Amino acid sequence: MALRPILLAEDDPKDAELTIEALKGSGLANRVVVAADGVEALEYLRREEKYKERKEGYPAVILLDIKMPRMDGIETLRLIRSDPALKALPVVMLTSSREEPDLAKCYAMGVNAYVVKPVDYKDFIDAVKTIGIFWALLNELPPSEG
Amino acid sequence: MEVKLELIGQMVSAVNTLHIFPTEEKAAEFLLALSAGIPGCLRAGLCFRGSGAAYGMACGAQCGGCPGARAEPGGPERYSCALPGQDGIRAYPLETPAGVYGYFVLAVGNAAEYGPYEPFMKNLANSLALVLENRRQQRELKEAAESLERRVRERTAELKELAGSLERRVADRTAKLDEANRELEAFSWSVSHDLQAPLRHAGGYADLLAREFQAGLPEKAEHYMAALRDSVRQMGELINDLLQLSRTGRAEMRRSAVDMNEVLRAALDPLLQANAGRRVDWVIAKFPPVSGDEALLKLVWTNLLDNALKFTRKSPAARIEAGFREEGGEFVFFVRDNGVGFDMRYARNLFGVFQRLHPAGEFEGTGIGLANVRRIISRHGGRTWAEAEPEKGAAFYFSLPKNEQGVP
Repeated sequence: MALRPILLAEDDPKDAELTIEALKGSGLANRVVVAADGVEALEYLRREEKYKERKEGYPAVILLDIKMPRMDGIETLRLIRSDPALKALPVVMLTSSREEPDLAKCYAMGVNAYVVKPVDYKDFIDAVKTIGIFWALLNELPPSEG
Repeated sequence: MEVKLELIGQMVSAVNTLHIFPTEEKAAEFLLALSAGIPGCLRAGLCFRGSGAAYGMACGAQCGGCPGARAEPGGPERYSCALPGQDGIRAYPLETPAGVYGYFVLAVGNAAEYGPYEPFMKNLANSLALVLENRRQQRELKEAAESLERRVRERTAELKELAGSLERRVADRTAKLDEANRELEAFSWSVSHDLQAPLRHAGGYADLLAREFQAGLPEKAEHYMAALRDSVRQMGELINDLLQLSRTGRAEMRRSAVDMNEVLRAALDPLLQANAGRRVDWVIAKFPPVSGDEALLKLVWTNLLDNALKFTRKSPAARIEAGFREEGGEFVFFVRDNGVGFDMRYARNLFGVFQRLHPAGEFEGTGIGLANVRRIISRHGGRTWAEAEPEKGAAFYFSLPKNEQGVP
């Protein structure tokens, strides 16, 4: 059984590449699907637009950058959590600052974890390892009534 | 000769009703009319000192054309009457405590007939003087009251205007401050996100390069890579510290009664963990409670204790003391160490941003910590200062006003 993919919503291609490398570096072999913003991430999750033909199941974990064009991570999180089909998916927020004022809001909306994109890349790999091993290696979804 | 008492009575009551006349001119006209009935009398009237053109003058003339008028200093229109000595003219001075007010003047045609009325007329003049003086005083009082009222009204209006303008200015300033704060907020946001992103990328790619191509890299390239990563890390710390500094300036103070012993412990514990291998002789006093923002005060202790640990790193027997003393209306807290110290000559800008007294290669740090300490303490109404000597150690002090205490 193939590993379920990781969905990464990230508008900055360099951040996306570094995150993918960090995931690889932490030993995760899951395929990473990159969505350029929240709108595209939801299209992927709901099999809409260019993801109509998506074969694989729901991602093992969704990584959301907080600051994105069109639809930011907070709004995406809100929509995921209010969609019965999606609300049980683990979501991890990516933020470039620990001082992110919206982090509290994310927790109130049921985010599972957050990772500060550190300047030190090794720290980032460690952080990704921690969250990645926790969810991405699981092939089962957390219990859900949806 | 018989005196017409009835006439005298009329004149007395007339004088007593003088106060109802709006002006002295009207009073003079009235007296003139009455005096027409006095036997032997041709005319009567009031002549006021310095009144210029007189009215109802006994002589029937106006001062300006009167041979008895003496011009007084102060202008061609001011005269005093020199008529009293003249034949046929009786001028009774209207004497008041403030001086001669004017004259009650009668032109007498028949001295013999008039003679018996003379004492009455003198008395009448005295009564007249009293009534007129009263009127004058009343008028002055009324004018003073009116002027006072007017001034009060004016001042009230001025004050209202001033208060309004002050309010407008305060509102204006507040709006500007809010605007500046919002701009600063946006700036901090931009610093944390937009400045950090390229830095993160540089670090990340340098790291990837090192990881994936390490085998083929010459030693020199590895060195360059390490330097690159170190610079990125340093820049990251600087940005974070600057963000912190900007936050301590803006964050709302959450004042409460603070147990300094607990705050110091909370600041010290993580530092002890991070310096687990170090042997330091700690001397920590028992502190009084203060009033302040607990999180900010913890940051003060963290900065000062971290500095003390850093600058005693090379001391064979490191000793760090955290204490306090009472000085007048203040508590003075301090952290003293026996580390490398510094030359007080260069300590002037010690609490400024990016001020360092030691080479970065020797002791790490961004030079923002003490600026942060100063900002926090000054927001608490206290002061910060330092004492030090090279190779003998340093002491950093901060004061907190006692009246800010949250304890009785």
